[in-house]
Amino acid sequence: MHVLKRTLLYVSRKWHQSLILFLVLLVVSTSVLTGFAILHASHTAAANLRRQLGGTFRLETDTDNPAHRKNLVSTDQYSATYYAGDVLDNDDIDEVMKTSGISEYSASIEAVANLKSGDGAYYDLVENGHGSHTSFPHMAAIGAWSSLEQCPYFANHLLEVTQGELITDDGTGQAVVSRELAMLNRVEIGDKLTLEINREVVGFEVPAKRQQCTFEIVGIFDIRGEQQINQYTLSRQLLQNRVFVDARTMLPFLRGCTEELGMPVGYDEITFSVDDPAEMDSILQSLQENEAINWECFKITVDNAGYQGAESALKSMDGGIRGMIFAIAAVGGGALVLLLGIWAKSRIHETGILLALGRSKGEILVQRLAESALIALLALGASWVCSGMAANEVGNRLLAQVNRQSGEETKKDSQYSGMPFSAADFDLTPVFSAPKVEELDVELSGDMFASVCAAELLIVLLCAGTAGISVMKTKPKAILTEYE
Amino acid sequence: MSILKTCNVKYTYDGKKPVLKNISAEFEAGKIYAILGTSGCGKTTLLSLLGGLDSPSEGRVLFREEDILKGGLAGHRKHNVAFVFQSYNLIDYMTAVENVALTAKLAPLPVLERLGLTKEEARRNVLKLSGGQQQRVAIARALASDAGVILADEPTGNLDEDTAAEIMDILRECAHERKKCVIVVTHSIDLAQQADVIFRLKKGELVL
Repeated sequence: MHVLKRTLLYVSRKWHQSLILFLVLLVVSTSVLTGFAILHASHTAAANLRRQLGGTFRLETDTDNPAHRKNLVSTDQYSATYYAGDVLDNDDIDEVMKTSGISEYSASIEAVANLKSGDGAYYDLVENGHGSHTSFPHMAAIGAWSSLEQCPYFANHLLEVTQGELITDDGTGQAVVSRELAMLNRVEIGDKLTLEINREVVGFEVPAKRQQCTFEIVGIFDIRGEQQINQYTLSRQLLQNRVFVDARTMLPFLRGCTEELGMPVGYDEITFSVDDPAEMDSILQSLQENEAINWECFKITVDNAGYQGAESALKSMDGGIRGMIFAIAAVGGGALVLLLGIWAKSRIHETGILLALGRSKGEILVQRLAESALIALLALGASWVCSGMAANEVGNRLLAQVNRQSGEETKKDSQYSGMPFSAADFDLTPVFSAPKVEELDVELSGDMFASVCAAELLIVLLCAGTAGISVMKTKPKAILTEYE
Repeated sequence: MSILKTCNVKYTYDGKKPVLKNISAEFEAGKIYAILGTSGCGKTTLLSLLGGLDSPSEGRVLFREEDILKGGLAGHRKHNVAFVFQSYNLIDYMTAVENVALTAKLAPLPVLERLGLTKEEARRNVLKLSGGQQQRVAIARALASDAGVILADEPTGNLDEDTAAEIMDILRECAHERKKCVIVVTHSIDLAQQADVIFRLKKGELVL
């Protein structure tokens, strides 16, 4: 009878033993494979979490540096200086965005201007309900943003564009107004809106040809939050009168207004977000090597708190998973040695019979190895399916955890709690939206599976071989005498 | 001409007291031999040496005039001899047919049927057969191997009288009709008397 037939007979007829070995191997290989899948997934999850936690740095003009300040007024009684160094402009944004690892930016300028319609008529502003007390009846607050997606009013859903669209990075000459202001002045999407800045607005003379800048209304927003309004609230402080325009168009307009004075106008600060906050140091190092940016006039402030808070947790999760894989492999290996040892000893009589029938020790050993290998292959095949399912389950849990953690972080950042807010002292720090991870790639790669298969087969064959050899050292006569 | 022969065979356990002393004997095909002796006198040890389960401390065992060590003990067990044990020594996860097929050079089923097992019994797991049936399977395994020598160690030791007689008839038939050399080790004088030649093993020496 051929050794393979004996192998199949043993595996099928002694199915209790085969089943036990199969289950042990299945549990061990599934656990190890799942462990590796989790480890792989945890790296992906950690990368996603880092991306969601985000990391930003702020580039701002170093206005405190005395080397860049000039005297505006200087008398015996007092003196006044102004910043005369380089200011942050669109070229600086373009230079910074060339740096690898930077994903988005947000630049904004706050200003005031008179509002005029396309035909040159001044806008009426929405009243605050406590009686008008302003001497500037057409002057509104202007928020110029590189992208309104990062403006906290919109990011925190205090304001929502319900008609048309938001201003994005690509937009130029675009404006977004409130529904109340649009209705009051009978304007709609596609209409022109002109901003006017003159002496009445800024207190100094502005050349006539540079007093106006025209935008197209691309979106109309509704106010979702409740504003704190009292008798001291100015009309231009009402969100209904606030106008949002794109910063790329607004900055040159403002520069034109102040050119005669020789006072540079630029972005006060620009906030950049990075792809991976763990790479913040290397990104900044690379950025500061860019000589097109005048680093004597600008300074960088890093906000990486979210990532630093989570870093130790991510590292401990990685260590925990590696420890778990090692423990499973060690316990599983021990169980296999024990099981195959007991199995071999329980077959001493059979070994003696086969030896008495003239079977060689090598042939008997091959049968033992073939039996173990057959069961191991079946277990490994089944573990591919089981660990795939387990990995998916783990992936879903990790994904939920990542999204929960990210949600908590986002909540912390959110300023709006449903309570009435004041537009006058609203924090305009930009909010970068965290990318929502819809799917976590927890999969078993072929390489990973092949490695585990090879390792497990080797362990099984070593265990079976060692156990078999030790039993076969006994002479057939001694074995059979024991069983007579 | 002898098929199996021992020449001055000695055997000691750990080099101490000798169990077998200068055993020289010849065994021919077509005859049934009985080796009679008390328990512990070395009968099974002698049978093991004849069957290549062990090797003598001194002396030689020859099969067809050739030292069995020359072709290897495993080869001797595989091609030249077949064992029938008191406790049958069948493999417990196999059927009767499969057990016989382990060594078979002949078709197992006809051999089993000739020894009185039905087809259904032949396909049954050996643990579900009676003691007599299991011993028939063991003999069938020996016969199917087509070995020239059948070595039987107390083949009826676990069987009742009637079954024991049937087994001895089968072994006699193996010797006389199939021209095998059958060597039976026993402590039973009644059983030994059914053999063609009786050896007695006393104090490590084999006498007729």
